[in-house]
Amino acid sequence: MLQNLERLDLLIAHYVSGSLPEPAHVLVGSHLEMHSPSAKLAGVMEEYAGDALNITPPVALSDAKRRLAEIFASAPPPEHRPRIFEKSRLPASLRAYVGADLADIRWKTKLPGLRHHVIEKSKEVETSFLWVRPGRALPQHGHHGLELTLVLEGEFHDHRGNFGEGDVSVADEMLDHRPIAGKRGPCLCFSVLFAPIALSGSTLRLLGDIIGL
Amino acid sequence: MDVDERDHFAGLVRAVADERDQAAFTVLFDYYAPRLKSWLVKRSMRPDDAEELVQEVMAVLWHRAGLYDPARSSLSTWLFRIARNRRIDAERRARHKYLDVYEPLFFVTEAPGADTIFEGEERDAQVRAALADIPGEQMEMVRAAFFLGQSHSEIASSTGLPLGTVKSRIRLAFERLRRVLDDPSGE
Ligand SMILES: [Zn+2]
Ligand SMILES: [Zn+2]
Repeated sequence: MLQNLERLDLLIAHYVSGSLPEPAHVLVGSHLEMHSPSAKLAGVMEEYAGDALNITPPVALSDAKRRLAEIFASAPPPEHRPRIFEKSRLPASLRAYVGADLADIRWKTKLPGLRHHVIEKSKEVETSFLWVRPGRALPQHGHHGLELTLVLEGEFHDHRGNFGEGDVSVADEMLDHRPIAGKRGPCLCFSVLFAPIALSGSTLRLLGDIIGL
Repeated sequence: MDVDERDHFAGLVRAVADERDQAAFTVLFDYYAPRLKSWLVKRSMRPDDAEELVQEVMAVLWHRAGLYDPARSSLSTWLFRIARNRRIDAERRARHKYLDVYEPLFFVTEAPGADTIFEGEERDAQVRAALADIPGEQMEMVRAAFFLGQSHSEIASSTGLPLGTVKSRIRLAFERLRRVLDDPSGE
């Protein structure tokens, strides 16, 4: 569990610096909305990021005068706010990414008591919602690549410990586990799975640091 | 940036918000635009695109200066956050055009937890003092890894430290941060 928390800290720092790939950025942003100690950590990291901007060696703009003039001549941007979903059960970051609310999801039953909905799938990443019946055990399994799981409702546990609402599990090739949903209610999760290919790519190089590649 | 400079910049933002003061804005632009460009280029953005995005970020300051609250963050942090979110947004637009683009100013930046980070000036001062106790060598690693965009192995080779030491210093810094935030008085 300690190792899991350490990895989460690194993810939060990458979130703040803006270096996470989008689905991971959404997952960590949702976690921050749900878990205030992590939001505090992110707040302090943002202050550091701002400080770092002050010591960044400036790079002159090629046409600063024109840019400045264009800003003064520009119209104020329209105040468009994100679509509001009344009484949504999803964190705002996740809602905006999915573009829909839970009620709109068309679940697929994978196994009795286990529903799945794929939000996005490419050769690098798959994001999905998982719904697990109270007390149901998932089959023992390993992982190809990095898997981040955010518990949205309910809880699950495995040999590492218990993951409640707002907690994030970080799993990789090194981890084999058999997650079991809590008994008190269904367990709803948002999951982001990176293929190993994604971690060797240069843009995601930093993400490899998280799992020590 | 020291407290005086911070206050000075906050005053300039107020002049922009209240009086549409172009001279005040120009001072802010001359300071921040080249630094934001530098940061974006380091984040492997093309210089032209970076400059375009810098203009976008600075235009937010020109039009929305009234939204900046000096009690909640430094101006550097506020602008950094807008730049970061705009950059992610630009990537998102490129990746999937079918998604509704949301307004990051009102959204990622305003995560509920982020509002209540510091409940008062006193607590703020306590946290800052406690943070100052974190050994410089640990914070240096955090800065290099996350804000100067270096990988752990790049830090290892530039400092001559073993990779394991780099990783453990970063880990220790986070441990200290979590502890300080849980209990800033250190009791
Ligand atoms: Zn936990
Ligand atoms: Zn798993």
